[in-house]
Amino acid sequence: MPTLRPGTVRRYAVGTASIAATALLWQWAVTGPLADKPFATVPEILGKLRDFAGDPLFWSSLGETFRVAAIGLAISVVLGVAAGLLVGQSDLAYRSTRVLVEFLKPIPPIVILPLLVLVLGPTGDMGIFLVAFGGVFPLITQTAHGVHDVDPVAAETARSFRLTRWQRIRTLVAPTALPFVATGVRISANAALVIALVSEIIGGAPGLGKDLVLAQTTGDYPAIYALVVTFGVLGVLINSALAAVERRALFWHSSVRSEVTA
Amino acid sequence: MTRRLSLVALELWLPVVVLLGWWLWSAGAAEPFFPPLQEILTRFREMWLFEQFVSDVLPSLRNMAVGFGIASVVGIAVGLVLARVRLLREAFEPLMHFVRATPGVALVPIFILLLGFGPSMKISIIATAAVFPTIIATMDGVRSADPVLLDISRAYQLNRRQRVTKVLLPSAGPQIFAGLQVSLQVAFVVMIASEMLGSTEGIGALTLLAQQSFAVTDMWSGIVLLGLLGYLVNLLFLLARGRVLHWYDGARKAAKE
Repeated sequence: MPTLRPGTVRRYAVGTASIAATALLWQWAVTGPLADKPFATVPEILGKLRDFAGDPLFWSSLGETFRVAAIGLAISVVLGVAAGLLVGQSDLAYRSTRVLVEFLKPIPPIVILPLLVLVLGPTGDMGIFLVAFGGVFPLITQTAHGVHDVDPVAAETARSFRLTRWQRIRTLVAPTALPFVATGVRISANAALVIALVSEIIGGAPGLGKDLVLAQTTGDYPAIYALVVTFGVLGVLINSALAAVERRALFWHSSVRSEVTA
Repeated sequence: MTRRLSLVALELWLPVVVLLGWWLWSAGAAEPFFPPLQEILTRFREMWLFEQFVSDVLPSLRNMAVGFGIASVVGIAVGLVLARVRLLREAFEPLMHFVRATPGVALVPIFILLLGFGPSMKISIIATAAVFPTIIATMDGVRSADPVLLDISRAYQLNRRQRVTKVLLPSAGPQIFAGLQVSLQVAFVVMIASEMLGSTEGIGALTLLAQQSFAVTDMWSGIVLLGLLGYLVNLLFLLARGRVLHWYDGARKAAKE
């Protein structure tokens, strides 16, 4: 557990003060020079957030966005790790798929969104497909990279001890590849929420993103900003949750150890 | 020579099979959403080479280039300042992580309300969404500069400008470029999103409009163009990165061997 050092206390104090100052500055700007522009005041936004908290529709939208992101991510993890293990262990598979993967990887999922909307309609399934497509490539390359990273001496040792394929995967490949897979999962999980929201904002699937577009078209400014604040909070929560899980599961790995001591 | 040829064959057989398979399958299948690849390529040539090149492709690319350019310059400058001034860093870090966690696409509706549907809206939202990865990467890179290097530059009495351009920025270079690459991807996505949400100009707008009017082949040709651009933009970036960071890549390679 991190101890509260004076530096940490100071950092939190400065951080809180600056958030408060930003809120004050925003309030001054939107009541003064920007009063006729499409903004909402801080009390309006906070009031809207309070309304959201008691609004079952908000929670069902949030649940839908989460469902789409989570299922899409799960699919991309299963497919990506399986494909990554295959590609990482066989030179033939690696070379055969390299061009295809390297070509598809930098193409963002938003590119195929029109096709998916055409085939699947503005539905949660469309969002799940989009999230899975966006998440699978980082996982393939990270897993394959991790498998490649197996220490050659350890691999030789495993061979001379005649470990079976399954034993080799369990005791040698998995521990080596796991930190790389974890990085891949973190990249894909960060992307999952964003892609789910994209499928809703642009693809019209139900969820918080669609609520945002509705708020924009009806001119409900407090709702727009309250939703954007919600997205930011969700993103920060997911980031810190993932970092915590990673620290706990991989406490033995040097990349995590050095992070803790620094 | 034969070894090299067989390596090339090994790398290319699957993409060729996939393309051929797509071509043959789509030529025979009467699937309404999957028109023959041959038709897609014909429409691709008609639309983008070069009828709508000036009216739609160029504005899209210009918006992205300008937005990404602004994000790079501002991102590196702000990241550098935040890394060097502790009070500013502590004040802005929580806010910045919050804004970075907010998807750029979600800010597009707000920018449309503020600035309308024109290029100024698109450039502003691209620059705003793309700036944060570069800020954070630059900040981390500059902060993790080797302390010995800083001591030496002090011992040699480098002035502030020399310290920044000769020591801090180069040593943070690899991280800065990692941040820039994320920024570029964000810029590309937000470019498309800013066109898809209610605009009538640009590759993204044409692709989505084609989908909504069931002009399936036009939509496919838009998807193919966006896919190619996504790949090429990243490739160009990696080439530029390789040129600037060749010293770093060389040093790493030497260290590995």
